Amino acid sequence: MTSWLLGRSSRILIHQQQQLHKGPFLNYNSSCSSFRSTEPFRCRDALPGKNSSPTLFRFWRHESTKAEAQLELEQDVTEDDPKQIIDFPGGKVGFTSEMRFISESPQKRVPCYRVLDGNGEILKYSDYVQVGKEMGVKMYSDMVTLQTMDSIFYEVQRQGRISFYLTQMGEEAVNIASAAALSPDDIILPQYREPGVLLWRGFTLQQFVHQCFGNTHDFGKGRQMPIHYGSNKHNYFTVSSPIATQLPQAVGAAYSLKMDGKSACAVTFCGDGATSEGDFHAAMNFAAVMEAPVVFICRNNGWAISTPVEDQFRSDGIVVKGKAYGIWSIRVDGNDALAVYSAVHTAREIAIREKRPVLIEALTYRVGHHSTSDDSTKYRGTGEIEYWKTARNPVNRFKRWVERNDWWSDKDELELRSSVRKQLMHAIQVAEKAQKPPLEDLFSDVYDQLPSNLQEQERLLRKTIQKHPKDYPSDVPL
Amino acid sequence: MKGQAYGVRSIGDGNDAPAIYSAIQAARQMAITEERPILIEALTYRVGHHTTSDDSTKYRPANEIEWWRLTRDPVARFRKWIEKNGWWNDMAESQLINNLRQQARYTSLNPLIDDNWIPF
Repeated sequence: MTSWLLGRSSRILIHQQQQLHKGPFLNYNSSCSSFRSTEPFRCRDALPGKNSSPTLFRFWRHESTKAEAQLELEQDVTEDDPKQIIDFPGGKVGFTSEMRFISESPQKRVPCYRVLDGNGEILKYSDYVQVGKEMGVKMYSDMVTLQTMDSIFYEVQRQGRISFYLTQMGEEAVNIASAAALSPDDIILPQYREPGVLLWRGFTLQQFVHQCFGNTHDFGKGRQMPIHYGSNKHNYFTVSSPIATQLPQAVGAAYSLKMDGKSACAVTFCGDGATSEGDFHAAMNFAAVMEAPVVFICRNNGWAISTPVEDQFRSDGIVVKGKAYGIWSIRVDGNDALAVYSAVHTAREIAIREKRPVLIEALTYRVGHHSTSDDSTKYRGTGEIEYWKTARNPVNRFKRWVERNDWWSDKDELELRSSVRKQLMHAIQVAEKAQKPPLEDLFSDVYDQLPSNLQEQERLLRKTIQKHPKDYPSDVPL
Repeated sequence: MKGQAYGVRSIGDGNDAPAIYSAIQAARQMAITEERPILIEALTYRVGHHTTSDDSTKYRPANEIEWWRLTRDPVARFRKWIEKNGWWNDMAESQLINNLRQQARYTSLNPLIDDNWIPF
């Protein structure tokens, strides 16, 4: 018996190599399918043999046949008998006599949806949502603005004028194109590398600068590190540093929108690193089960700080995780603005119309360091960085497309870059002169009225400052 | 499908004892020889209540429970197979059940008599 089983195992392994599982991965484009997953289990009205129904009687006979088939372990049934099924909670499952293990990863990876080739030309037979001149020019302008903002803020941090910064370099298309595809009513729960969405929604450059400087004009009143933007007015939840916390929150927000009958969805962003957090599991599972209208956009930029994706998971990236939870998903070229725009536009429609979650994995690359606290040349080759910075640059690629449409010129480019730079320089001067928030703001806004424990803390803090005035920043009003 | 989402090889089976035995043996071989994880989804059914604190007829129909308890009973199914092989019969079944009942009765009446006796 033992040798037989071992032999069978060997044969199964060989079989495994030859016939890896190639499950159908749903790559949803513009066309809409009305297909929904199997209806939940419904108990039959009566037991076989206790009912004269011909259907049930036939089932009873098939049951006997199946039982006999199950007993013939050494017999190989290459074709699954469609009549041999188990009526299981969650739906019918077919039986097989083949001991076939589903591969950990399909031989062929899930393909990546794209529209523009490297030269900024629309590929033949591309299935995409049209973008007109006005939209195209605004998208490109915001990508350039984001790029310029990043380079200037990075330098400002290096000069010690702000404490921290984090760039979007290389991921401008995911930022701007996804924002462009959404409605202002859609609620955004960002990670931290998506200020482009807020920019698109009208957050001013001055407001970005105020937040980074943490002055009295900062909506967060200086209580957050730079880049932790938030704005009620723009339906943009304040950035939360802990990884993945925004994901289950997005599901709750989406469910709320559904209950209110709103024609809007929640849209939440995360990096590839967030998919290794427990919150990702809870969010995906709740989203599917509660049928929440939420779009998950995962910026898979290949690196979770210094951990490359191959050391993070052995699955085929993030797109396959959607199926595990019962969520439609698609893999998109994150550096192709038109592909991102089309995928997000369609995902949003699916989420709202069908009241279901959708997962988008945007393949992109983090050209900059993780943050100003990081030097990424310590853990990845400069050649890799240069390749993504130049050959696969999303801004340049989209520029070629808008130029080819005659919507943009070199003159426009020079004017835009010069204008944005001036606006930023001016905004920085204004922000640096503004006052810091007062000490009392450290305790406000959590409760309508300050509870006694916080009152005591404030009293103690003020007493300590009086004793040791030189140990506290002189520019913070008491 | 969750196995593939995490990069883990997987297979499904359930109330079929030889199928489970075969799958686990093969999985064990793979895990050890290839130094990799394996996921097995065993499709089965909880015939009893969750615990003595639960009454499962409150949230699932009685005939669903009966269907799994009678028609898809894994013990009865395996018994048919070993009987067909000539390894088991009614007499052996009766002897086993009587023996177990006696042990259970003895143990419940004399819980502290033999500390070294290993409960089955």
